[in-house]
Amino acid sequence: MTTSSKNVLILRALIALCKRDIKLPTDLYDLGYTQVVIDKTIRLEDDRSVMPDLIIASSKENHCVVWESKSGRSIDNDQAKRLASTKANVFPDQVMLNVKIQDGFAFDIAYACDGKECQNIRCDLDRVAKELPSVGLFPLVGFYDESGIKTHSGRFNKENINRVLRDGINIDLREVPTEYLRFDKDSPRSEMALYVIINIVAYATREESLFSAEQIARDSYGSSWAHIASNATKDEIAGKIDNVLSDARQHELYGYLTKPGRGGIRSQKWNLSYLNRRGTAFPSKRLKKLQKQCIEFVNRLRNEEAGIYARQLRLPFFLLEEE
Amino acid sequence: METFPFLRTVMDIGFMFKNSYNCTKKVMTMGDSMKPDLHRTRLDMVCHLQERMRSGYERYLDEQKLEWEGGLLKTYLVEADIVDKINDSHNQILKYLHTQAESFNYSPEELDEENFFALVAGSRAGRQVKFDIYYVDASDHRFWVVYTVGHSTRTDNFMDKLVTNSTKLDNAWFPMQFLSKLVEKEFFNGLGGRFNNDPFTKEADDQLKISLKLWGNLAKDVFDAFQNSERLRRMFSLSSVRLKRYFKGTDESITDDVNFFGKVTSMGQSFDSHLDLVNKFYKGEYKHRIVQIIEGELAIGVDDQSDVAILKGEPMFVRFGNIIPDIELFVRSLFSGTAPFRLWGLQQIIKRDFARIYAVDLHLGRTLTFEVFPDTIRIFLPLGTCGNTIARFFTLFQHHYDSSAELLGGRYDHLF
Repeated sequence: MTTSSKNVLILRALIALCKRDIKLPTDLYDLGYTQVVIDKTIRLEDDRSVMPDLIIASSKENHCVVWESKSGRSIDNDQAKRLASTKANVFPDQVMLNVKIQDGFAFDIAYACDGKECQNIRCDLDRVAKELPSVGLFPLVGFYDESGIKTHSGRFNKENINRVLRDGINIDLREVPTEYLRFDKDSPRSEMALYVIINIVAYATREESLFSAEQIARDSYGSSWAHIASNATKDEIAGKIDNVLSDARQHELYGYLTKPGRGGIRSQKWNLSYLNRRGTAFPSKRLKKLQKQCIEFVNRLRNEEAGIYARQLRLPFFLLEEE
Repeated sequence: METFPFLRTVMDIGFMFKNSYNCTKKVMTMGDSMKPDLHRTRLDMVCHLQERMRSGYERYLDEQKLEWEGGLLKTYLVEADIVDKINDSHNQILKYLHTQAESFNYSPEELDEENFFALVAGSRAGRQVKFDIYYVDASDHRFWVVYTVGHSTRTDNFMDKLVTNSTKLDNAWFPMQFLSKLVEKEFFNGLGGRFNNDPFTKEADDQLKISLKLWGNLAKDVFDAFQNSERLRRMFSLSSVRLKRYFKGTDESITDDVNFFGKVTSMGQSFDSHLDLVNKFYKGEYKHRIVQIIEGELAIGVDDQSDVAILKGEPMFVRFGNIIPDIELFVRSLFSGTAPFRLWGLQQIIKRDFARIYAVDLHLGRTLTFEVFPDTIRIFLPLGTCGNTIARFFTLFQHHYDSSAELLGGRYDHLF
């Protein structure tokens, strides 16, 4: 799985369209695409495997779409070839999706990318298609900040979804929820910091004084943490969280965050001290002060990243409490 | 086994302590020899409470006075997040009750049945110290029922402190729609209502407040009139409903006041009938909505029962007609960490009419995300977080921002 912030945004949007969301278009939900699977390794017939970014399925349409999301201007040729080797039986047998492959079933391998990169991605797919023609049939869907989501080229094997994506789905990508995919190892530190902060405030509220970077990662990911196959990826995520904590401890959260013990990055214990002696009312002044410091911290990270991300993604700004 | 279960009243117990123990100490503790007579099985407790209801009701009919020492039966409905090993629930709950005892000035007692406890709490009433007994029936380890016949001033205060200051306990929260559905099934004989927008406005001129309580068989007409008023429909939230039921073939009845924060006060002669009501709407209807629907179907996360990372859940929406004029100001007020909402968050103003808040529920110490539009709040409850958070937020939102707000999510147009 190759993701960056834009990839995550594309995947979040695709997932959001499969939910009943009264503030977003429900075209895919209405077609029955309500089964959503992330990070699933598919075993192929030649003993290789492939992990697409996302799989969605509709029992109503008896159709699955395997999505590969690209933020850059090129594709991973080998990944495209492996995706092309996917057979229909993996959807009910390996991915446990509720579809009937003997009854008019169809599936698609589709690429999703930033609208500005569609032409480059199409060229790459066509290049691979000279070796493996089925890759050339993959539909490609562009994500545009202004106009939403629209098929750039190729077609889906089921007419309903083909029509919906050909006509385009108007969606303001800024309103796409973050909750379906919170962050990944390539996410900017400012995005990770949001979840780091709310988790450590939650621990302190529960009077769980000591916590580790891995615990924050586990609590941010929820049960999907267990589905991350590689320990190296887990180490990388925990390492980034530890880095966020260290940065906060040296600056905005100096005096709040301490590191009382030693140990490996994943297991080393941290402590946030600020509140909640049992039986007392909640100290709103201290909480407000902490809130201000946390917001300043996230804003600083965001400003540091601004040159790389801000203009591209139209990153939002944070509200700073006035004194 | 208790020898004289019906004779000892809370006043008696208070008197007993006064005469045999120095109650001037701030923290009141009891040695084994001083423990009050407790009803050690559920059946004993029921007999005792039944008797108390009967005598209390007769006194109510004689004096037309609602509250007195050792008066009406109060049932507090408490949602608990303590047990992680079902087989060890009794010990885990007992241990928890012991850890809280000193802070809240009570003595926990293990009774003779599984998941059945008593808390004996002392509190000052002038120079006297009164002791109240709270029977905790945790047969459903998450949805407790706590019974007491103490004076409501003391018992409300005690239960409020116990629940408000614990990250493991919460009240049951009944939104407007939940309470009004109750009155469709029973004879509606009174209501309480309240609204104040204090959390959202500092200007005295902009503050809107109402608080009232009334009873009688015209309650439904009053309620309907309020609902037909465009202004009051949005600024009058039910805080309690009074339900009256007659027993078949007799002129006997029971009246229950069901409060929005999970307290039920019963006036009448039948504990069974009271229990039946509580079981139906709390352990039946309310629990189903919290556990099966909100936590089971709508909470967002990967299903950990499967080898495949299937993303479950749906967002929930609080939809309302009282359009938010200034989202920045609104989220600043709502997520400041203060009462009544007690939500703390990192507030991200995405655009003029949309904000995202990465929040912590300071009551339970759990995280969740809110997204605010001018007419809707979209809520994402992470899998594993208590669904009661949603019921609390929605109920308080109705009491402080728009009482006509609706909660929907997934295939449910009305979650309450």
